[in-house]
Amino acid sequence: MAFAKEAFRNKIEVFFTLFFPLLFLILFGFFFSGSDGFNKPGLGLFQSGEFDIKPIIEETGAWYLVMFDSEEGLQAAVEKGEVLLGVSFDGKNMKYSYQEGDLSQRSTITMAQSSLTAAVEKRLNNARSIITLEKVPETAGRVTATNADYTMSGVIAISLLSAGMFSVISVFGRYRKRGVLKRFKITPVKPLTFVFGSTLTRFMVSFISILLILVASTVLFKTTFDVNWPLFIISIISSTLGMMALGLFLTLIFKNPETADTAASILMVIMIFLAGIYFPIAFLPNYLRVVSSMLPVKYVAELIRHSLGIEVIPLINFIILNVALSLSGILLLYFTGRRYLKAV
Amino acid sequence: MSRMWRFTSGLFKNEIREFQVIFWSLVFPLLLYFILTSVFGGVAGGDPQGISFKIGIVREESLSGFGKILDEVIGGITAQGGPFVETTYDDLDKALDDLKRGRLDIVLVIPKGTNAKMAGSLMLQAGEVPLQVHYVSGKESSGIAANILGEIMNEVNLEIKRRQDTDYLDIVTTNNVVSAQQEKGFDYNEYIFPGVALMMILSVSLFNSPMGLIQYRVSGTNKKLYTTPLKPLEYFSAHFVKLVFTMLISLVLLYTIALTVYRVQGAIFDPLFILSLIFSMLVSVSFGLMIASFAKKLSTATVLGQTLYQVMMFMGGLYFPIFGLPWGIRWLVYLLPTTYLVELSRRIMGYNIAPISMTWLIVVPLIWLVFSISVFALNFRKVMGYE
Repeated sequence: MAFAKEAFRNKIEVFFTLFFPLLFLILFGFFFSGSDGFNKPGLGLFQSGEFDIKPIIEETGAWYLVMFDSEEGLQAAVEKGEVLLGVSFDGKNMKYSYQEGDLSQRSTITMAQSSLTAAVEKRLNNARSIITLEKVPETAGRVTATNADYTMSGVIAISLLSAGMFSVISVFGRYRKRGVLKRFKITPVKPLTFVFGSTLTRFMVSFISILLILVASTVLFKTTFDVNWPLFIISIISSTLGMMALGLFLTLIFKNPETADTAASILMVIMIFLAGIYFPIAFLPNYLRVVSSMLPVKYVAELIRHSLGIEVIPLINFIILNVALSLSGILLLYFTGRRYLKAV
Repeated sequence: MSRMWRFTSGLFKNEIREFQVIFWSLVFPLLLYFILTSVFGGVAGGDPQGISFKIGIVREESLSGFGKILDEVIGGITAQGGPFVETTYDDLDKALDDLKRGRLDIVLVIPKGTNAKMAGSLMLQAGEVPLQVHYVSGKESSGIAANILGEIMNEVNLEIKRRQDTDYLDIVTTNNVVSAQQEKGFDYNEYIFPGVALMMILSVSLFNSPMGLIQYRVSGTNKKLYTTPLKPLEYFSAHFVKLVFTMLISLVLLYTIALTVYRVQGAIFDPLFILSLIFSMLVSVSFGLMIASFAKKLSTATVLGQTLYQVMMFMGGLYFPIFGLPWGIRWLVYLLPTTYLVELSRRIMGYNIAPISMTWLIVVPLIWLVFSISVFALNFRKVMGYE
């Protein structure tokens, strides 16, 4: 109870474990939830030739089409961001206008350029499709997932990383630096009771944070999770323990809690960008893909996706991952607790 | 003057001795620059080299005759440097299993009868050759890979027609990148530079500055300082100079890496660009001083600083353009000074990302500057801790 009161009285800890992940959910949700979260992207069209390509664009159903009477008007609309892509067509030449630097829309623009040109060329030359490609969507889990589902499950994984890693740095690093551990040593409190009490509180805070994320992602981004609660709770417990192990490892390497905190922040940034949670691993250079495969949050995301019904991993993998994360956390908590409470 | 200099020097040394300051102000911007250019450099620059998707191919019959055309296409797209890496499967179920487990991005199925259909379609000009591509719904990499394969097949169809029809009309396509100067093209390493620089400026302004002031106030250092002949205005001036020094050192490091490692030249050395960075420093520092005015405790300053830092960084468009966001959240984009500051620097470089006129790029941050300084001036005694 004392640890729970201490944790909830600590404004910074409450902010970083409860509200900071929500802030990230909102920010990253809007950035990376993909086109299914918003309206269709705008495509501006100006035509000066006889051949009308408006029906070809409309057939795709992927764009909100806006017609322009002049090339200048189209350019202005692209510059102002009113349309994502401007197409100017005179019967033989197609000019694509777009703003450079929009990474989230880069693949959409590139794909649109090649598909529109091909579709117009096909219609213009009356070419028939010899090879047709039927796209068959597969469900990797229990539900047909959306982009938002993948992004939000990633936010949960990052949140577990943050809550687990930073909480133990706070407990063991901060308490050690302030001399709190020394005071505990002279009380009858056993190391195991201390470790159990302090980590249980962090579990509670972490769990509340995850519930908030689930509710917020359902309300804001219409996620379609099929939560298997027993698996989900197991995954949260083992992942929090595993991430605590990472934090404890840092406290063992770096004696100063601020240094350990900084090292944890570096790891966090690296994992956000390289773990394949927000950006596809296919975009990474080969050497960074190797780094990506070694990042634990990648496996936490797999567990979370499995328990939310987005993806299915084999039962044996689920067990091995959970056991490995839990064991590493428990062992490091045990040894760190003993070390700091007995040898100070 | 020498007292002032000695005090500034002492404050700066005290600041720079902190590991956190060294890391967040000097090292982290370099690390972030490296990560962003490594992850997005190829994609943003339209360079497909290095991007590869894993494709599983199920051939329900071995290709021969006209069917060999498909083998040639697959060979081309899975060759060294191509967009796909091939794994061959005999069994569709096994391939789909690997797709669902994330070992593959897509599965291409070449069904039985493809050879005959290819021959019929090419020789008799009738019928189609249906192929199937399986992808995982909602998974971005899988969807992109399926779309790329679809485009490649479209191109193959057109190429066949092109070879059969001497009157084939090719459409000439041109790209008009409206955000970058036409003559130089887009350079991601250059484009992201102001974003990283502004991130560093924000970090110093929103963390180092208010926390330094509040730390000195709550720890009682201020009281000791004011027992000396030091005046509050001198203390503030020294604090400001200390921040500027920290930012300048970080900027020099960032410039060195940009110039030597990423070969960014020209635009970032433009005097107007450097002026825009100085303007960003002034606006951001004043913003940090406003935070110090509102926060009594260190914990409040940390929470306020972190929240504003993340919001100003991401919603200000430092790394990703933000004008495609829904209006429910886009209003915030227009409110933040960072939106205008980073766009101002990029506009000077030749990019035109935001639909905002040059006048507003200067006026809005100026309004923030005046407002923040006014708030700080009203709370000067409280912030500097001599009330």
